[in-house]
Amino acid sequence: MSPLTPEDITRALERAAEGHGSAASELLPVVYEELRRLARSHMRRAAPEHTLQATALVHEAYLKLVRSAPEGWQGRAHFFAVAATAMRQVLANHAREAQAAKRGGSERLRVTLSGEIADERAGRDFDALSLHEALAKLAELDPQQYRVVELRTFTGLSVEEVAEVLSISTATVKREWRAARAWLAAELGEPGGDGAEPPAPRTEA
Amino acid sequence: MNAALHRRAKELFLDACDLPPEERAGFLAQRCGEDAELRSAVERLLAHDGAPSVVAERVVHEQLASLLDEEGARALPAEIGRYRVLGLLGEGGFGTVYEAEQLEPVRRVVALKVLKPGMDSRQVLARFAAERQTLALMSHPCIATVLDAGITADGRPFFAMERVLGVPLGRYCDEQQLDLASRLQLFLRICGAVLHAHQKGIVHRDLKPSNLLVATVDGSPLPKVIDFGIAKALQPLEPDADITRERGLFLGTPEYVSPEQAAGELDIDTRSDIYSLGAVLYELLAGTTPLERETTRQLGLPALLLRIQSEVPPRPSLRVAEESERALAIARARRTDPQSLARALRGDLDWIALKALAKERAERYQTVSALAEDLERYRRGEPVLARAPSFAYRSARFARRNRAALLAAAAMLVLLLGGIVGTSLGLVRALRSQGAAEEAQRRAETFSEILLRALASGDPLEGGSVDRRVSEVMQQVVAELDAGALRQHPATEAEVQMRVARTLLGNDHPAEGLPLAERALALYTASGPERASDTARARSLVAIHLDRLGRTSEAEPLFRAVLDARRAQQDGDHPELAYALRGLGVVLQHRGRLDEAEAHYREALAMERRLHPEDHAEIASALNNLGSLLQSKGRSAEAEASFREVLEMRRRLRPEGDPLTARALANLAQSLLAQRRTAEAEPLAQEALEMFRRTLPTDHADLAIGWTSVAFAQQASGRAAEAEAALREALALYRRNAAGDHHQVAGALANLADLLLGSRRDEDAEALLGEALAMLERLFPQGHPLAVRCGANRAVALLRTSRPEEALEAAQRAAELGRAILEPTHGLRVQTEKILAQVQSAR
Repeated sequence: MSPLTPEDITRALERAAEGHGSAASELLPVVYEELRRLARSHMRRAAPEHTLQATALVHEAYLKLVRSAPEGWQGRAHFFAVAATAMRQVLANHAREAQAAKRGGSERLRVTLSGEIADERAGRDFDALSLHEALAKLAELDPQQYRVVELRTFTGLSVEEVAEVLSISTATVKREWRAARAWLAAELGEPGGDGAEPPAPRTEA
Repeated sequence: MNAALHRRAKELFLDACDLPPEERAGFLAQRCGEDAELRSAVERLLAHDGAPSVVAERVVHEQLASLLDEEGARALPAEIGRYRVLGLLGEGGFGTVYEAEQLEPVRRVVALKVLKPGMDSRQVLARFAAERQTLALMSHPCIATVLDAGITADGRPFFAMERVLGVPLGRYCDEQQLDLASRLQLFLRICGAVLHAHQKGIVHRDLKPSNLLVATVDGSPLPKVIDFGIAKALQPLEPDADITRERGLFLGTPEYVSPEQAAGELDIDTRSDIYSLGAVLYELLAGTTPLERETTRQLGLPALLLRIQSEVPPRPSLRVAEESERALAIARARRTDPQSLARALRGDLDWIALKALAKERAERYQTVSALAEDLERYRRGEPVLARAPSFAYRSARFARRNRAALLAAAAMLVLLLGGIVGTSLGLVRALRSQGAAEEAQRRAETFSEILLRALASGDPLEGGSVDRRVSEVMQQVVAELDAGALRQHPATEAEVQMRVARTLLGNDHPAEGLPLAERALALYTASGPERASDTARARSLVAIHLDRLGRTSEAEPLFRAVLDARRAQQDGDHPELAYALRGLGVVLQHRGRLDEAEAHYREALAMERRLHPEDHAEIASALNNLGSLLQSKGRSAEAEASFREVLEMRRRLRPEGDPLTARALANLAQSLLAQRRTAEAEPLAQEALEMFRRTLPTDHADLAIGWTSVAFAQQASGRAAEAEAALREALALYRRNAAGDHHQVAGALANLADLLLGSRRDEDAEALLGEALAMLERLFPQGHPLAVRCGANRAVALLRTSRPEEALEAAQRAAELGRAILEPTHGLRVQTEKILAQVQSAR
């Protein structure tokens, strides 16, 4: 894929802002390409021991994209709404590809040099697929709750930011989020909780 | 769940989750009422409220990490070291492979393998540098050389190697739809390359299809082994087995790595590569890795290691035998169908692959050339050295030489068909001890190893040939043993004695083998109860010798003792017990106690069937025993059914035909002749002869079985002249092989005499029987059932030639011998008494 020009990005963001149905898929290559670019540059700089800070990277990508947003663009609310969906699609595709590669019996060394074991990898792909399936289910059952999850999970937005993007109260976001987490945990067969709300891990943007 | 229910549950959950837990039940009861579905949905949410891990975030972060990892690896740098990057060739577990151009000192295109971050690059380079001189010694058309190593700008180690345009071995074979023969040819070329490396002292350590690339060059496949030297460079400098195991640092691919390498052992040698080659061969043959990829990929490290170290893979032929789409696709890629593929793999190829995959490296082929030579033997249709974990194959090969004492078609007397079993037992037994003998061999000094091999080379049953020089060597060995050469090593001496005895038995010289077997038994008996199993082995061998010598009354208690010992050693079904049951059955059959013999055979057969859930040479042998017994009892239709099953099973086991299958054909023909179904019998007999001729050397004694079988069919259809010619062929073959007195010669004389009696050529018959009796008396001073038969028939011949006094004398001697060595109910004894009565009344 050839590098995206600022014009490409601007055009995608404009289309997203105009509310095109295909906006998410327009934005997908933008998000994707930006992530790839960042990953490559990080890898080049990285010492062998360097661990990629995925969250930091994502936010770096968003910041970059947001900065590219054209003048007069309706604002970050729309952008995040679309970008979250794009991001989810990127990762869903990635999970499916990883799974397919496994089924295809590709000759990957599953026991890797870094001591990471194959089955962990397999388990992760499985988790990822289950997560995406669960999210698709949630999108049908409860669109608003789904949007909260999508924004919180795939963009790392704060409760307040999600409330702003979705034009709902922060209390509602908190409630939806709490219920959604319980629902997802149940769907994905996670062990039960103790009823206490753990701090949501997120990076300050 | 529908949307309305979901939303209702969500609302109730949010209302309930902040209530104290003790109030929740009441709240839910009130709000949900009778709606059990709603209540359970809410309870499910409550149970997962504040789940400890935030699964969605975790998964997303992990996924991002992996995505970015791959993207980062895929990034195409402009230059790596002094190489200009041209493009991406592929990604493997190690890292990323680029196509690159070397600019100096020579301009050439290479493959650059850049490793993933995460290891100490300087150590890797140091280890590679240490190997470099050695690697430079390799020069083989099927090895891609590693040219250089270095560190990338971001600190990762890389290797520059000859660029190979090719696809992984398995994919190549499947895409080209190579049949088994072509696959083996390709595999043998790979063996040649690995052998070359081993001769230079280089172990690959990561042989697998993706390191075996194949390209079509000038219309034929050219394999290239890549990555020599890399795996070793990646190995930690001072590997600590425990840490390795704990942290999963072992290097290799679970489906192909040897158990010792997986365990992080320090002394990895060439036999580790032999294991990996075995796994590659297995997959080439059966389309599946020995430990299935699908399952290894789901195991945790400890479970994975355990599997690699302990799970014996099923025989390749079993993998393709199932009826599934997958099996069909695998067979199609080999230009065949699943049944034919399973048949082609069953036996030699199964065992070659499994021998290479032995968990203990001492049990594998010790060199790549040994593996390659065995495959070459298979390709030439010669017996292979690999053997089944069970003794099936060896027994099949041993039994090949069994003398089938075919039932005389002449209605007068019953020939000892069971004789076949006695021989076969000896052979089966011999086989079995092979495993133990090999164990001993490994421990024994070199001289005894050479000795044992030399001794076995004289055994035609083990692919050797009867050779005067070998016989001389054997006599010399016996003399040396008598002189006490191995007195300090009683166990070794016993094994050598047994080995010689078995070779003698294999050449049908039981009288000469007996003292050796007895000496071995004495040695083992003296070494106490811990040698109980070996003692039982030696005792069986003595019993077989006695049985073959016609001394069945002495053989019986020995076999009973063996049977008791085997029962005491182990509960339940086991091959040794099944064997002992059959051994006793044979002796009982020879003694004429047919009902007891039948019970033992049936027990043995049922046990063999339980021990081997599918076709197996041991089942076929046990069935053959039963068939011969039923034939002796005159239950020819049941015998026929048994022999048919034997035949079908052997045809499945060895579709290309072998002497054992030929023997089954001959036996089936005999059971049909006994039912006067001559027209059906003759083609089978002819086929038997033809198969013997095809699968045995021209002068092999067993061809006589084929001739005899054909002769009986011709005799039954009234073609006496043809039958006589065939029987004379059989006699001549036995005479050529025996060079002197031999019970087979006596048996052939007796068969010919029977035919002549049928044609009223009584004088000729009498002369032949006289010769046979004299021979039998020399061979079996204590009497032999065949002598009873010959004596009784000679009495008939004498009576017909008007020599009643001599006839009476002959009949009386035969009857006396019968009373001495046969049970009262033995058919032969009964018949002989009838003849005596006739001779007496004729006077």
